[in-house]
Amino acid sequence: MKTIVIVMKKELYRVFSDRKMVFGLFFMPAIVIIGIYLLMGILMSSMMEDWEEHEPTILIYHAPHSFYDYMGTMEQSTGEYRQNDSVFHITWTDDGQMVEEEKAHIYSGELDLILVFPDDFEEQVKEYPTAESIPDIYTYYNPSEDYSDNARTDVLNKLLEPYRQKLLQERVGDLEQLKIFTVDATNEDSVIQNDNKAQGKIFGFVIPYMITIALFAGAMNLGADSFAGEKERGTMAALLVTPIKRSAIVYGKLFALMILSGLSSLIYGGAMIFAMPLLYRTLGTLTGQDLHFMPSQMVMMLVLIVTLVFLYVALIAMCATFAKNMKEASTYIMPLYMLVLAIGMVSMFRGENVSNLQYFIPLYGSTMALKNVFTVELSPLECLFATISNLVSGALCAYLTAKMFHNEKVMFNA
Amino acid sequence: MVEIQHVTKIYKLNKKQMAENKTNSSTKVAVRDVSLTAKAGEIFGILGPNGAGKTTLLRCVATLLTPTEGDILVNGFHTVRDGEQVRRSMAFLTNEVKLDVHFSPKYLFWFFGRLYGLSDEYIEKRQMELFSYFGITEFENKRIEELSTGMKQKASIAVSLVHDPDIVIFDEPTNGLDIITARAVTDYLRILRDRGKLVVISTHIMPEAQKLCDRMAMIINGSCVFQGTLQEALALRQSDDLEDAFFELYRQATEDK
Repeated sequence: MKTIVIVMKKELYRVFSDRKMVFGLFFMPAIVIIGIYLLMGILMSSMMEDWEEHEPTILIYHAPHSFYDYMGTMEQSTGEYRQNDSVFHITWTDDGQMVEEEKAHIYSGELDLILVFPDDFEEQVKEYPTAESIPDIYTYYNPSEDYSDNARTDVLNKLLEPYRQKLLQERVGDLEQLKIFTVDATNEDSVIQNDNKAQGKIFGFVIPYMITIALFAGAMNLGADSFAGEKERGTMAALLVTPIKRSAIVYGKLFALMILSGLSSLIYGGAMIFAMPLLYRTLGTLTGQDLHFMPSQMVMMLVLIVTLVFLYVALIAMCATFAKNMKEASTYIMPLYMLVLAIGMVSMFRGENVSNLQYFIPLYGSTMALKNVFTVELSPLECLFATISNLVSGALCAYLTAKMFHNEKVMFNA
Repeated sequence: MVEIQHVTKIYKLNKKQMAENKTNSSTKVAVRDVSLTAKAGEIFGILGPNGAGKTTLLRCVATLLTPTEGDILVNGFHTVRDGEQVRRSMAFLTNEVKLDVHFSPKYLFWFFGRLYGLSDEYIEKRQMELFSYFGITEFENKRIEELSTGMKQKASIAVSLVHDPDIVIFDEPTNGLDIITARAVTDYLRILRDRGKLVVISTHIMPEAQKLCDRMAMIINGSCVFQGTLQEALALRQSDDLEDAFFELYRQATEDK
């Protein structure tokens, strides 16, 4: 045990005495994550502001008198109509040829929307009990242009819907008569949910994925360097000619890697938890919501992360030991990284229906468990299953690595 | 004492290695039935050209490789069965065993001292002795990567000797060193011999072996073609020059082949 600690301390000292390594491993990910989320928030809110500030240009063909009258009630000046803080630039026309020509401008994004009323709109509305069909207003817009897409939504909601309500009121007198029943009109307590689970779903969607990736990525380069790199540089041989057990070298290195990648992912995860509300708040969609963990969640998450790190570093160590040099180690580790990425992606879209046995599947089980900790759906027993899976598979990898340390073909290419 | 008894080491070659060695055989005999004994209080030289099998033989002694056949005893301990005791009683230094360039000589001296289970007082005492002899004190806190080749070799020797082993095995100890550093190293090997240690060196530089070795073995194509004292080696060609004796043995060995 003493020799394991000596090797572990040396590995840790190697990293912590190198400022560049410390910055790259611990500070850089946090800065990058917070920076990216802040930038995304700023860019997205600026985009939304731009949409809101845009005043849509609309061509209306064959507008009926009742619609003119309705529009006439709005604040207006030379083609500009104001409704609920929205400004619409409207051109009226009865020239069918012009509509066809203006469609090209919709396509190019110069015009946002064309509204075409049927010729006999008023008549169809009036003769509704005997009319063969209800009048259909055509819209022409370009969904790939944000301004055009938003203009259509705004016109439907802010102009046509109130206009329809107005016509309906004229037809039936009191609109309340049309209501058979309402849903939750007076019920303020309709939503019954576990707030932690609701918040956890938001964070649980992406954070476990990012944490597992950060854990693996943090250990990947360090692990390759610590095993394959030392072999390549000849410094491993210096350790192998000392009387300590080969397994002590392996475990000393593994524990040091666990500490380093654990710390790295802790900072990474912390930066994510700090940065995500920044993004949501900037967008105004998560006002006042924060992530709160219950003590049991914290304990399960810690246990899962620590044991998952053990499995990751043991896997990386096994690949790196088998490799002759750093380059070869990267080649062996990359498919594992891809696997971790894929499982992480799966965890984003699955997780609610994981059976007990599935928690035993190495890598998959613990990634799912990590996700379900966020949504408060993980029982202590399920956490135990994932932990056992991590520990058993990690120990197996560590055992195989130690066996490889005794193999002269692997260690010295002999 | 090191006793090598009928040791053979055969490497298995993969296809790439077979192509590199230009052979159709999937095995390569690096050491063939070598037996020799080196005793405490002598400098024993293992001489031979590059690729003769010297380093393989020394790696077997250092427990890094397992002989395919035969046994090696180091101070009575078997290299395969008692690897830890063997490594505890020896220092092994080759070009392939290097110090991590990120650390200073002092850090590594203490790191390896602790790995050998030595007390702080003992490590301190050994540091004083070895660092002052090799002149390491002035750069003891510099990173290895900042040191010259000579400084690195001095640091490597000092670190390998931290536990004051009975047996010191150096593969090409003066390879790449300037004349001053090389002299310091060979002088220290003599000091170790005079203290009753067994020093085993491998070299292909005959003048160095002639000056340094008390007894020697010559390895050619994996086989031991000579074992004896310097005088016995010189008597082979009635010459004062060990190089002449070596070439005579080399000629015989290659002709026999």
